[in-house]
This record gives sequence, structure tokens and C-alpha cells, in this order.
Amino acid sequence: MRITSMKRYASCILFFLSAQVAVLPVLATENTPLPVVQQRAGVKGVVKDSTGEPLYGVNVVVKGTSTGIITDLDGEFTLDAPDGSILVVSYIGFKPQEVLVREGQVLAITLLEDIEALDEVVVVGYGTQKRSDVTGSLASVKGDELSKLSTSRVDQALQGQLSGVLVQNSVAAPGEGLRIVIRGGNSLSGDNSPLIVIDGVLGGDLTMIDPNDIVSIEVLKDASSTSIYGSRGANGVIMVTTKRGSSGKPAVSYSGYFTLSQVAKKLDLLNGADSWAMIKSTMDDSNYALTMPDWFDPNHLNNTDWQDEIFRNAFMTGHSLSVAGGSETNRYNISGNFMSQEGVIKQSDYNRAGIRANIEQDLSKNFKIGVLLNANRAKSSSATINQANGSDGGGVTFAAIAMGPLVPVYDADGNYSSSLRSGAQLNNPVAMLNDKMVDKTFNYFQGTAFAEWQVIKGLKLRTSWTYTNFNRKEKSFVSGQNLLEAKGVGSANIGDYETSNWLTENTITYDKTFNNKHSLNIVAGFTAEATDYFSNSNTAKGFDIESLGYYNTSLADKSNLTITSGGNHSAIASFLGRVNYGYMGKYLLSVSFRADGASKFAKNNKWGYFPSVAAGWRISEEEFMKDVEWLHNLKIRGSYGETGSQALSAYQSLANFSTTSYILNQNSAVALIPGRVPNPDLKWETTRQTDIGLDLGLFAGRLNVVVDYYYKKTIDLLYDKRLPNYTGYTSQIQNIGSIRNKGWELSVNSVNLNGAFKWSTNLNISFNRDKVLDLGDDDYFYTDGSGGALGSDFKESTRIEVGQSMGNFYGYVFDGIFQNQAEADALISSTSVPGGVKFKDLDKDGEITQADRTVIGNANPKFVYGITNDFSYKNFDLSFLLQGTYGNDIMNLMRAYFDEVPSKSGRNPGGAMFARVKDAWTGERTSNTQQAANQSAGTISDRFVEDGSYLRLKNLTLGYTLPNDLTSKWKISRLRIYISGQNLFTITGYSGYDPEVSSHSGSSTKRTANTALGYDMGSYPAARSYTLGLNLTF
Amino acid sequence: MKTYINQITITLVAVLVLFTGCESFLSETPKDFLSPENLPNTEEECNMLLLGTMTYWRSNDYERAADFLVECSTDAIVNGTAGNVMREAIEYMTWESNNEFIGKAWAQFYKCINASNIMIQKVPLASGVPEEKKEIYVAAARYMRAMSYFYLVRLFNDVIYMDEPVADFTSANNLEKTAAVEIYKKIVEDLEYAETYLPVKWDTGTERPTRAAAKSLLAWVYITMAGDQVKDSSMWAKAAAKAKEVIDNKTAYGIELETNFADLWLVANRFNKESIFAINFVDGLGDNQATVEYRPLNVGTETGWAMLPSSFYFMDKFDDNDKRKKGTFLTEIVSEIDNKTYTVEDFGHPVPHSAKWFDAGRADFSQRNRRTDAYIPIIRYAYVLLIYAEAENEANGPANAYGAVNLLRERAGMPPLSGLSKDQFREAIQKEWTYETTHERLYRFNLVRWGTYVSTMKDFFQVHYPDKVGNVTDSKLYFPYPLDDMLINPNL
Repeated sequence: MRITSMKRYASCILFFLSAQVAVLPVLATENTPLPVVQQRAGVKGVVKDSTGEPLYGVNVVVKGTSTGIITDLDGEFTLDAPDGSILVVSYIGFKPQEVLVREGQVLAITLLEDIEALDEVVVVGYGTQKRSDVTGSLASVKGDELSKLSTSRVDQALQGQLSGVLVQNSVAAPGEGLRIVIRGGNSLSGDNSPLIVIDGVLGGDLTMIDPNDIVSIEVLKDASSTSIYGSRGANGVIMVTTKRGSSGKPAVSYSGYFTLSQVAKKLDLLNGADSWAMIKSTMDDSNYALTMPDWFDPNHLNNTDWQDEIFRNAFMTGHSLSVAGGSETNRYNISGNFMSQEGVIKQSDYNRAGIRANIEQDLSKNFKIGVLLNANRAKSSSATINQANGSDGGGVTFAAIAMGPLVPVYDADGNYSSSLRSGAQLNNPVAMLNDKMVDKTFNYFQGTAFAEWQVIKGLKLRTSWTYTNFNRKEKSFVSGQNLLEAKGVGSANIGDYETSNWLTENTITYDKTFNNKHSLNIVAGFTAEATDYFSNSNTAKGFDIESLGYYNTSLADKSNLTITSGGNHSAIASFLGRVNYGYMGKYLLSVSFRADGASKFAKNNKWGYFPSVAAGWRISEEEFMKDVEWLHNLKIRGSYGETGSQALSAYQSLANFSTTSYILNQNSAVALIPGRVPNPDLKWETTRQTDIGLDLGLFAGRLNVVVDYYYKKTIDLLYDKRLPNYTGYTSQIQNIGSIRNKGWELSVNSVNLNGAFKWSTNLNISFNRDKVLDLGDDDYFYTDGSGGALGSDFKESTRIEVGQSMGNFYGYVFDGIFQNQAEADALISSTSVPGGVKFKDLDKDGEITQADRTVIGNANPKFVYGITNDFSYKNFDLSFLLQGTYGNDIMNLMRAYFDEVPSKSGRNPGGAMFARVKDAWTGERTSNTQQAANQSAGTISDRFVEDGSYLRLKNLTLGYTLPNDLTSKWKISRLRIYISGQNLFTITGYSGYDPEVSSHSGSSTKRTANTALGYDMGSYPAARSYTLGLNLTF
Repeated sequence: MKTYINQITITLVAVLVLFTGCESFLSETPKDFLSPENLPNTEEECNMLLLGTMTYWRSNDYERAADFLVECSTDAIVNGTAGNVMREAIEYMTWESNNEFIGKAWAQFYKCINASNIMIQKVPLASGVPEEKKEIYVAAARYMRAMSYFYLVRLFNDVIYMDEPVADFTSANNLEKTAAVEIYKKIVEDLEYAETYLPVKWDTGTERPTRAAAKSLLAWVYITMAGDQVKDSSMWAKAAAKAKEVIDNKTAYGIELETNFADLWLVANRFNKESIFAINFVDGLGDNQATVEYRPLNVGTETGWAMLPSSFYFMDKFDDNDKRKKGTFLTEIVSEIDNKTYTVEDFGHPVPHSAKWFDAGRADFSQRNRRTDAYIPIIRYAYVLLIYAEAENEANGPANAYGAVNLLRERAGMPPLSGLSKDQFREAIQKEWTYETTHERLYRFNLVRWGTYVSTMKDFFQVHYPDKVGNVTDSKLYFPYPLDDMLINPNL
């Protein structure tokens, strides 16, 4: 049934194509033959700007040929060109010039700045636009801005670069995903990540691109620029454009670097002697005191630094090589890259290799075809992090904090030692590194073939077909020797997850200016895609022979194999259109529309419609402003539109039976239980966004300011509507409730010094405020930020409440320490003893009850910012990037464990304490911040909440380009070496490893990932890195 | 130019044709799960649904919730997690409707009821199943539904009663409660059907409900109806008669008392003949956490979580010569791992713990995340004997009641009861219930049934929490409805 419909579908599209192909032979005959260069002579010249500064990188091409070169640092070039031929000299931002070649003459060429062309062309959805014509809100960054940060990852490189774009390195481990949120999260239970569009193909993967392959990244933020992406545009769109070749002789570029990384910060824990002193001070309290193990000798204290045991100096290297060029009729850019990164925690690694080929061929003057290919493979090994203790024994960082200095790594028999507290559910972290392997491989292939036909001037048809295959394999093995999670059995898990997608996009673009006054650009299109997902996961337990790890699961106990599989199919079909109209470049109007039909939407709501409108007024183009010399550009723009978020997973609207198992005849047997409650009305989430912006250019474009205010409201949120439990179900997913985000964005670009010493600054700052407006019949719900590890007290640690921000922490207010019996008697609570933790009795009923809880912090920053400064003088260049957040709180759950002295039954599972425990209350007025040694750190309260604001020197780079007269001897057109440092310092009040932490950001439950923000559950520490690198162009 | 325009027109038409093809392109046919619309059709599928109704009982939401609601709310268990608000509320009898155990138990029983209702509705429609087989599966589902309501009505008194799956979720928000006595009648109907159609023995395995299970549960329901909640004294005779049916047919049903009381709790012995209906576990599938929850802290690598320690106060109620004292209370652990003996003074909480949920079934408890395959009996033959003895005494006096209870006393190494008055026998049988079934998640139900819950708790609080005796009131006989459901349904 479905297959036939797909065939019909494909045949229709083929028909569409054949309509174009039919005219190919006709067009091909119109092909002009290549001119033949008959005579050659050496031409020398120098290119300068109007101020007399030499221009580097200017394109100089012999007209009508593929012969060309770019100027060196001194603006000079030498080229073989016949006498009498014409050189075309072009450079971005300058008016192109044609110069006649006279033999023997040294050409002195002065390029004039092209004010119009300074309006760079930016990439928008299904097209390009001059920046001056843009009516929506978009931010862009050039590829060389990213590659100069010497990071291997595009998403990391975006941090601090663009206003309105929050990039959070929430899991600092190599190869882990980042949290990217544009203008605040829209959704409670759907994905809040922006749509990634790479070379026009939707749904790309930023981790699979080499930053060196990128020309530019545009981030579309307002509804008028994203509504053309319909039901996937609500979270903003990141558009990546990769490098194309240009006609001319091959340019070979190499860039490479070596990096050394170290842990940026170690936690301040008590040493062996101090730890023992604290533990000893509780020995009188038999209900509290830890029973010390037999081997413990107070006269010979250990002083193990467990952090040193798991951290290392980590090495990283990356290499990229590309060749770009082309002839009159074709262009190519072929590149390859490789990088290998060690994590600062031992056994955590990431490496990636990839190739990319972008090739275009002109079949005639009006017809071109091309392919874009990207193949990547990545491999990672990871250490367990963001996991507090439970019966699995905690993550590596948690355990390394918890073990404490008194415990040696190995016991007297040479075995991994266990916790100071006997039988504690805590793994030896060194054993975890050695006994547990978690390896993942990622294979990514994306290939696009396209054809473009310029039917008549201004009218262009384009069709593109893309196939993407993404395969993820996860292989893990846990030895049964030491680790609690597999003790006595050993356990291997092999998971194989494959997603494949085909996509076709077919557009018609019409672009024409009438009477030099009315400019019109129309895009209409039809796209369709289908995705198949298949997963297969095998768990094997009970290995008598462990030496082969996960490589041979047939060694496992046959009766202990679990094999599962699953899969789904989804499809989307869309119609889209946009009309841009401009009058005299002054009055701009843009209207766009997309209709999305998606299989994921329930049967009553198959199609969603997403319109938008935007207008702009370039005041600076008005006659009355022409005399204002210092005003280069002034534009006011406004937009309104609707976008969507699919937020659903396949089949989510349908009822099902879940498969589980029970025991029959003493063996496992398949059991079925009622699963989802169906919802035939389930649909996308809709975001309505209004944006008002101002673009200001002053002093001939040396100072550019962009300000935006936005207000967006997301309605029809996917929400687990609670059902009464007596129905047998917990909830039904419905489109309920709304959230709004509003805020200001400011970015300033300024060329401060423009002479021999150049200095430019780029500053951006973004303020976002979110608020939950409606949760249907509910007033609030809770999320367990401790992931269950801290028991029911912490189950309600995040509260999402109507009228409040999404990132609120919820709990008691710390009110010091009970100083004496009288204070303790005055307030009933489970810690009401002298030296116990005191909370505020908010409802003044004389007792600490759940009614005394309140909002105790918020994980969302008040603002985020980034400042880049670039300096250059002669052959030296220097740049630095400062980046940070302000006003966000972190729930440091590590303090719930290690702000108390280990006891026989308390939370602290090991023997470690944070240094502040030394200040424990020892009698009246001795401390009002740290409880007595024999008291618990207490239930969830704001004493675990810390200010997560930070300012970080994200990058500092100093480069030196070797003089051209030296390098030209080696046929090198440019050679630059640089040293660079990342995270050289961070100013923050946060006491944990890294203020960017958000332990649940990778949670597979989106609702947890979106709402339980800002928790530290034993994170991966941030690294400080030093890089030596090289850029080379032949 | 004209050709171009023609071609563009053709193209646009082609696009429009595509539009019409979109409907099936965008339809969704599930690939990786079974849809309820066409299930069940075969006996295998009926059986999968039956096993599904049983999985809820294997959930921690039954076992741990019942531990707290039925044991920790009595003097038999104290809370072992200081500072934990929810657990302390159970211990100090200050629980409120937001208590997690109240919500979890409630939801768990209703999930089983819903799954059973779906079966009861759909099995008769199964095309490929013979009628007599359908009756068996409907009977099994009605057994599971009756058992769930039996727990609900004893925990919450009047509750919402549904005997078919929810069709309209909007009107379901306003359902009215049904009086406990009416729900008992429905339970009896279900179990009468179940005892008629359930097989004496299934073709394979002992895990599924049998005729003996239905009859035993029915006897237990009758004796509960005779008690304080419904006060229907006509039920004593019915309870005695139903229990006697089981006793008289025990050979046919394959039931017999385990010789040694302590052996009942061994993992290796979990498929024993005394167990009439139980929740079962096997390695790697829904491991049982009861063992680690009850195990003491601070006993070397074999440490547990000590969520549910007992007390000397309660252990002292037992006679030292009664083998069940040692079989019920754990006061010493000999660890084979570190060759040490841990006595009660060494335990994290230096009090007796439960011995019934102690065996790991393996040498090293710390393996397998400290989970085990211990079973959780719901009804064992000893209960039937106790029901019979108690009900027979109430209905006809002790003369014919001694035999049943003395079987248990004999196994415990205690002298037989004899020569008691009806009142003396009642007092004695209540003690026997306690000696025999402590920590088996039914103690509270007995106290409420006997009308002794409040007095028992006052005595306990006088000793353990003298400042909190005021918390012990009649309002604590039943638990409040869970807050979540009360917020949705104003009729709760």
C-alpha cells in the first residue's frame, strides 16, 4: 500500500525532472568553446586599497581563462598573461576592475571599496539575500572566524560568537554533544535544539563537519526567516555553507595543530589528616560514627589524590587538507580531515576522520549539475560521568571525589580497594577506568546530487536529491571482577542504531528588478523526505572468560542473553513559498509560507501551515538622510510569523501494547501490557514570534550595531496530561499549555583601528526571559534533578510552574545552624538539634514541612555574552575571545554528599569531604554555615545552590605569517604558525569543576533534559588547553 | 520561450498530482509494536496478556509501597532512613495524601485492574481461542482484578470501582467512589467465577493463578468481610467453609506445608508447595529489591539499604522457643566474604532486621546490584490454615479449629493449643497470625480487621515515640486517596 504510493510519488518527481532534462541537448549546443591562450609573458603587479594598504588574497584572473592567482601579503602578484590580455581583479567588498596587460609594465592597481557589495550576501532558507535586503533576524559568522579558534568542532566554535545563540558545553567530555538553544527553549518535552541545515539539506550533524570546510554559518532566529522551514523551524535554524571551488589553478591548503590539555580545576577536598580528624570527631556518636575498616591505621594515614589517579595530560591533534580549483566550466573543492583527541579523564577519547567533495559542472551556460559528498567516521571511548551513586556505584568523577584520601588505590593484597564505609555502593574509580569499556562508532554519509537550470534570466529551477545514512554502534563491556553494576557476572552490550533518510527539494526562483525600482524575488518549492530507523541491541551476561570483552559475546551465559530490536518509518511532504519585494532598496517586504504534512502527526491533524510576514525600512536610503555622512546604514525591520516544532516521535499518537516479560515455568516469558493512550489529534507545537530590529552602520561601515527585541509564544505544547491513576494510565500526550520567551539581543562590530595596526572588536550580548504561561489544568509539575540517587527528598528539586521560568530549583531555604537547645526547641524539624541544619519556616507554623519549600534558584542566565578582539600588525595577528554567562544558578548536588562527614548510614558513600567541612559547628556561635560533624547536610535547600555566572577566556591566539619573500622560495603562498590557549582562565564563584555543567542535558527523556537544568551530578571537568598550529597554502 | 512555459506548467501539474498521493505517503503503520486493536486472537496472546497483569505486582511499586504501607505503618517495622520526609511520615503516622507510597500502591493496583479489564473485555472476542480456554483466561483476569481491589479496599476503604476499560477519559475524571461493602461483593463475584473456571493445575508452571489460589483468596476475602471494615458476621462460616475446601483438597491441589519454617524464605526453595500464589523473579528480569531494602547497613561488602529494620520491641513479642522467632528476625550475619560475624550491635541500625527477606541465593550478596530472585508470596498454605482456625472458632467455637493451627505450632516447635475458650482461642490465633506472617505485608490488614490497630499503635508509640502518641487516631485506619487523583477528581 505504502510502497505503491511511494512509487507513484517518485515517478511524479522523475517526471518533474524529465521536464528539465528534455531541453538539455538543446542547451548543450550553446556551449561556448574555451579560449586558447597562445602567448605567455610574466606580469607583475601590486594591489592596494584607496588608503594605500596592500590587499592580501585578491583574485587576479586572466579574463576568459582559468589562469589566475591571489595576491600575497604585500598585495603583490606575478602571473603568466599574454600581452594585451585583460586581467580581472576582484576582491570581496571592492568593486572588480579590469586591467590591460602591457608587457614589462608593473601594474599598480587600486581597488575601490564597493559600498553595495559590502552588503555581503547571506544564506537564507532556500536562497541567498543581500544583507541590506534582509528583513528577518539573522546572525552570521565566517568560516575563518571559526577555524582560527583551533577547535575541532563547529558547535564548540560557535560559543560566544553570535547573539541570541546559547551554546553550553554541558558535558565537557570529548565527542559529547553540546546544548545549543536559540532565544530560549520553546518546548517542555520536545527537542529545543535548532534545525541544522548544511548546504540546504535539513537535519545535518554539526559534529560531522570540519570547521576548515566552512565558508559561513548563518543563524536564522526570527519567524520570518525560519517559517520557511515550517514544522521544524521553531527552535531557529543554523545554516552551514561549505566551501566551493572557484575557477583557477588548484589552491592547496593545509592546517594542523597539536594541543595539550589539562584539567582546568581540581576540587578542594580535605587531605588525609584533616579527613581523619573530622571522622574521629564523630566517634563519640555511635549512631553516626563510621566503622573504620580493619586495615585502617590512624598512625599511618594515606593521602591519596584520587583526582590525580583519573586525570591526565591529554594530547590532541588535528589535520585538514583541501584542494580547490576549477576550470571555466567546473569547480571543485575536495578536502579531508582527521583529528584525534584524548580526554582529560583517562580512557576517554574521541577521533574523527572525514572527506568532503563539492563538485559542480556547467553543462551549458544555463545548466549546471553538481554533487556534494560528505563521509565521516568518528569513534569515541567514554568514561561514566554525571552519575551519582546508586546500586551501580557512581560515575568516575563522582567516585574519584567520594573515595577520599584515606583509602589507597590498591589494598594490601594488590586488589582495588573499596570505600572507607564498608559495603558502600561506590566503585573504585581506577577500577572503573580499567574494567569498563564504553566505545561508540559513528558512520555518517551524506550525498547530494543537484541540477540547476536557468530557464530565462532571473528564472531558475533547481532540484536536489539527498541520501543520508547515519549509523551508531555502541559497544560496552563491564568486567564482573570489581564493579558493582556487573559484579559476579560481567556484562556486554552491543547496540546498533541506523537512521537513513532520503530527501528531495525542488524549487523555482524568480529574481528580477523592474524599472530599477521594484525588485522582486520569488521562491516556490516542493520537498519530500522519508526516514527509516532501526535499532538492535544485545545484552550478554555471565562471562567466564572476560579477556575478549565485547568482541565475543558467545562466551556469555546462553541463558542470559537479551536481544531486542525496534524501528520506525516517518515521512514529511512540504510546499513552500516566499516573496521578497523591495522598492528602491528602501522599502522591503517579505512574505513566506510553508505547509508541512508529516506522518508523525495524528490522523486528524496531518497538515500544518506556517506563514510569516516581515517588513523593513532603510531610512539611510531616504533622500533626507543622504547628507548624514557618518550614517552608513540605518534599517528598521519587523516580522511576525508562526513556526513549528515536531517534538513528536514516530507513532506517538497511536495506542500500543508494550512488551515486557514475566516468569513462566521458572523461565522468562513474553508479557504484554497496555501502553500509550492514543491521541488522534496530536500535532506540532506552534511558536508565534514577533521581532523588531534595528541595523545601524556608522562611519563608512566601521561600526555596525544590530539590536533585536523578540517576543515568542509557543502554544499547543506537547504535554503529558495527567490522567487519574485509577484509569490504569498515568498520562496522555496532548497539545496543552504555552510558554513564552522574550528578550533583547545586541551585537556590535567595530573596526577600531584600520591602519598598519589593525584592531577590530565583535561584541554580542543576549538577554532572554522565559515564562510558563499555561499547563492546562495543572499549576505545576516536578522533575527529579538527582535522577533518583538522592532519594525522595530530592524528587521535587525542579518545579515547573505556571508564571515561572522553566529552570527553577525548588526546596527549603537554609537558615544557618541551630546554635543551642532553645533554638532547636523553637522549630520542629528532623534536624532540630544543636549543630543541626536549620531551614526557614516560611509558613510560620513552627514546623518544617513541605509547605516551607520555595523557589531557591534558577538555572537560566540573565544574559550571555561574547567578546572577540582581533589585532594585527605586519605579520603578527592576535585575537582573543571572552565569553560568559551571568545570573544563572547551579544545583551542586555533590555538596549534598560531601558537605557532610562520612557516617555509617548517611549520604556520603565514601571518605571524602569538601574543605568547608572543616569549619563544622562545634558549639554555640562557632559556625552558622556548616553543621556539626555528626549532622547531615540536610534535605534539598539553597545551601547547595551556587552562582553559576562566569567569564572565561575561551580562546587566545597569537599568529605569525612568514614573510612572503621567504615562503615564495618554497612555492608557498602563505605560511602561518600560531600558538593558542583555550580556557586559559575562568572567573566564577562556582565551586565545582565547570560552571557550564548541566548533568541532565543529555538525558534521553527530553522533559528531563529541558527542565532539569543546571545540575551537577559529578560532571566531566573542563580542560585548559595549549595549541601549536600551522596554516599553509600553496 | 513558449516551450519553457509549457514545461513549467507540466511541472506544476506534476506537483499537484503529488499532492493527491500524499495521503498514503503520510499515513502511519506501526512497525515495532503490537496494536491493541487486533489483539488477542490466540491462546498464546491471551497468556501474554495474563502475564502482563502479573508484571505490575513484580514492580517495586507494589513490594516497596506495601512494605511501607502495610508493615512500616505498624509496630513490626520502623523506618530506617532518617530525614526522609515520606518514609518518616509513614513511621510517625503523619502521612498525607501526597505520600509517594500511597500514590504508587494506588496506581499499581489500578494498572493491574485496567490490564485485567482489557483482558476480560477482549478475550471473549478472540477468534482463535476455544470457549473453554477463554473462560480460563477470563477467570485468571478476574482473579487478578479481585486481588487488586482486595488490596485497594483494605488500604483505602471506599474506592473507585471500574470493571471495564476507560472508554472516555473526560468523564473518567468525575467517577464516583463505590462503598467498600459493594466492592467486596464484586470481589466475591470475580473470585466465584475464578474458582469455577480456573484450572487446578496449568499445563506448565506454577506462576499463574489456580483454583486453589481463587478459593484461598476468597476465604481471605470472607474473613476480612467478617472483620471491622464490613462487620458481616455471616462471613465467618463462609470463610471457614472456603478455607476447608482448600484444606480438604490440598493433595489434589498439590499443596503441602514446608517442613522447616526458615526454609520457606530461601531463594533456592522459592517454588515450594506451600506457596499458593506468589510473585516470582528470575535472574536479570525484574530483580527483587526486597532483600537489599531489608538488609542491615554496615555488614561489610554484604551491606544492604536498611530501609525497613524491625525492633527489639516487636521481636520480644515472640517466644524464644518458637522457631519462627529466628526465622523472622535477623540478629547476626556470618559473612563468607570477609569471614566475619556481624552481630546486631554491628548493624547500622543496632536492632533486629527481617530474616525473611535475607537470603541472596548466592555466596556474594553484593553481586547483581544486590538484587535477588527471592519470591514474594501473596498467599501461602499457612494463611489458609490460620483463616480456617480463626473463622471456625468465630463461627462454631474452637473445637474443630485446633487441628489447623497446631500444624503450624508443631512446625514451629511449640506445644499444641488446647482447652481454650472461644475468646482465649481468638487471642491465641491472633498471636499465631503474627508469629507466622510478620513482615509478609499483611500485618496491618489483620490489625484493622481485628479492630486492634489503634490500640496496638498507641502501645508502640508510648514506648518508641511518646511525644507523638497523639498521631495515632481512628482516621489512620485507612490511607487518604493520592493527591494527584484528588486534584483531578473532586469526587474523591
